[in-house]
Amino acid sequence: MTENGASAPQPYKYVPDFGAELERLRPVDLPEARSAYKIVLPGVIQTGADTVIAMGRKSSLWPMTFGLACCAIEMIGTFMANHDLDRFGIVPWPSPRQSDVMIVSGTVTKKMAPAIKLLYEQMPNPKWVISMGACATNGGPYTEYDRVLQGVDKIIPVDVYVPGCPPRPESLLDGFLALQRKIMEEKKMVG
Amino acid sequence: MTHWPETTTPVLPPDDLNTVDMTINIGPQHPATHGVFRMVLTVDGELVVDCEPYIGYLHRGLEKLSETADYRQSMGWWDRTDYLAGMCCEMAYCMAVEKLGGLEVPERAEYIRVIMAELSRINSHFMFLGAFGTDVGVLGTTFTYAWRERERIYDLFEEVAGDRMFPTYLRPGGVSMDLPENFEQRCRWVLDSARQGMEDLDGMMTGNEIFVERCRDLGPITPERGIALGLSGPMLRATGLPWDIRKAEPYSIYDRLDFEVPVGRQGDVFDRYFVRLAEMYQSMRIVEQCLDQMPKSGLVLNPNLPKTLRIESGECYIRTEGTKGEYSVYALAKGGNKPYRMKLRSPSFCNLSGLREMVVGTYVADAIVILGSLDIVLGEVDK
Amino acid sequence: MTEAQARPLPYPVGSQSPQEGLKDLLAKAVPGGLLTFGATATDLDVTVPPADLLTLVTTLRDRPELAFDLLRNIAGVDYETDMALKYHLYSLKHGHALQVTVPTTSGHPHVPSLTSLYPAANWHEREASEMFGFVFDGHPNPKNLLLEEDLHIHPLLKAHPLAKVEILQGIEEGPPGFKF
Repeated sequence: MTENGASAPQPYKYVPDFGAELERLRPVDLPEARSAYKIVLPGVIQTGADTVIAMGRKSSLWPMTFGLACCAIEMIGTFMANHDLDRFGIVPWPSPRQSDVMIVSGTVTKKMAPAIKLLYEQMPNPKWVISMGACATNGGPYTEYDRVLQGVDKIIPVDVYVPGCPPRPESLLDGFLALQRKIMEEKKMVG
Repeated sequence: MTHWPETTTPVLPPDDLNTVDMTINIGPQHPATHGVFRMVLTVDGELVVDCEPYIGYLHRGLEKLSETADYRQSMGWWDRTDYLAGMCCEMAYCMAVEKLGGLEVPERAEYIRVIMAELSRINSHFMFLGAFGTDVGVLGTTFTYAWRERERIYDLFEEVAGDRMFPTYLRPGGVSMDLPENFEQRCRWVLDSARQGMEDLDGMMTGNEIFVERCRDLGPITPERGIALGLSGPMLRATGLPWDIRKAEPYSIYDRLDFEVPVGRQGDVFDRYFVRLAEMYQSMRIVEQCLDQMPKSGLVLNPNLPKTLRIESGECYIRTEGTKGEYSVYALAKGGNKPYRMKLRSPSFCNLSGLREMVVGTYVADAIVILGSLDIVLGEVDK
Repeated sequence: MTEAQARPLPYPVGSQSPQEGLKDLLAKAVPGGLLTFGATATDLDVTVPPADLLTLVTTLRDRPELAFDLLRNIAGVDYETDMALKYHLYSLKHGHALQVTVPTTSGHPHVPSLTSLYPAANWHEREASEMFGFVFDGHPNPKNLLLEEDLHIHPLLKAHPLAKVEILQGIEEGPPGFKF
């Protein structure tokens, strides 16, 4: 049949056409993750101790419940059910002796500054500080008044600054996530 | 058989073995002080002999800074005073500026202001219910229930004005923008939800016999003594005196609205709690009446406002009923676009000055409950 | 019928504007033209020198037709050349309000304390004392209230400077902003 002419109809060949669907269903591009461990034998993990410790630290951050001013209300709101912080292992704790994170939530006045320093010194190492809101960062709207400290970083080291006046709960949540990233990056530091 | 000699005298500690008084410091960082408040209790055993409050840990210069800024710029500092109910503070400040500058407020804007102020009052009292429950010992349960409703009111504020806590929505001469389209429907939904939340809290606290026994007959105060100490708001109304500035010296449109002033019987901690709870129902009635009566359209900001507000001279003392009591603003203008002097009469400050009288003679654990029943906001106390 | 009518308030309803009848009452209670009357946008105003303050306030509190039983507020004002104290009084019985102005010299003027008449004056006077430098004679506890106890500054005086604002931003190289 093929010799007789090219006019003979070709047998129907089914070619499925998915259009752009494959492109649509392509898995997302994941950046190459830095794996914290590698599997040596099934069920055995080999990794550095610092990584494990840092993972433990970042997964159970206990912030000290320490309301200074207006930002404290948003801090409470972050702890409450709507923006549940417990799912990150972040549990508010009223004593500095068992806390890991200090959230400086509000205006730091010069009268309050010695108490904040004392609280910071009472916290065991390793400890981190989140400066929440404009007032704790640089004095915020009250910076021109001379009884107000122009930023809590004048007296204690600050790890994460959360902007806003007051920051929304989502901002504080983001601040905590940033702190967790920071803990993983600084895992070599022995606190 | 033991024979007791008849001359035995009862064994009592001699006079020189009396125990000494102990001093307990509470604060400035303490979960029960609701912020940065410090009090030093002198106790004899469990009994409080003396109480010395220390404030000023949040003194951030509201009055000084108000003198340095334009009339409209100062608003941000004023709603950060009572940070549980920012709109009430904005309303007092705006009324003072309007009184000095002789500005008219459109009718629709007045209604919007009252709605916002009363929603703020509900919001603030929810915070009180949550925090007070924690003080008394219901732990976090009341807090969680109260915050569910607070978040809904915050969401409503955000829809109206763009921010949750301090929207700076009010302006001298009206409000900054009109309400969104579905506001009435949303507001009624929020009110229904808040009413349900209040009933939950009511059952959880008033229906709890331990809570009631804990609060009854604690720190009572008479109306005469309350007036002498300068108490106001729910603290004074709990003593049985229905003195509410919305009724006594009516401002804005409160004289057109129908609401009651709940009072207590003997001014103890339970009455203070219950007056606030009853006040929330009245605030809901006010908001619903405002929604019914409000003009459906119209201006919300005075169109004749000058570009820069300059006030030649004037002096006024504007009284409003804040969430904690009489929130008043003394304003003095001497030309220019800045006030010469602004003074805040903050209700928490005056209520707190009566703390010593209520606390002395009670137990240490009760002192915390009495402090919780004052419902202080430190931003307002320390200015 | 509204419920406000059903349950009448046990006090008369006042207003936030100056009351005229009060002026006659005051002039009758304090004869001899000792008082200087004025008016603010909200209240009747009475000016009295510091020496006569205690007598006047005792009269205001104790006369039954005046009966100012609530001391609401004490506000100090610094006029740079001199100072003044504003007392805001209110009568729950009659529903009228009054402002008492006490002009003083600047510096550390002596003013009699009202704590013996109104316990509410205690903290207000301590605040005015630390913020402006008034000295209240007869105050039981004249310590600083809002400021630290060893500080002797008066922040609300016009002469008290504001703090210098530190600007730490905008020092990076090149124009600020995102690079697109």
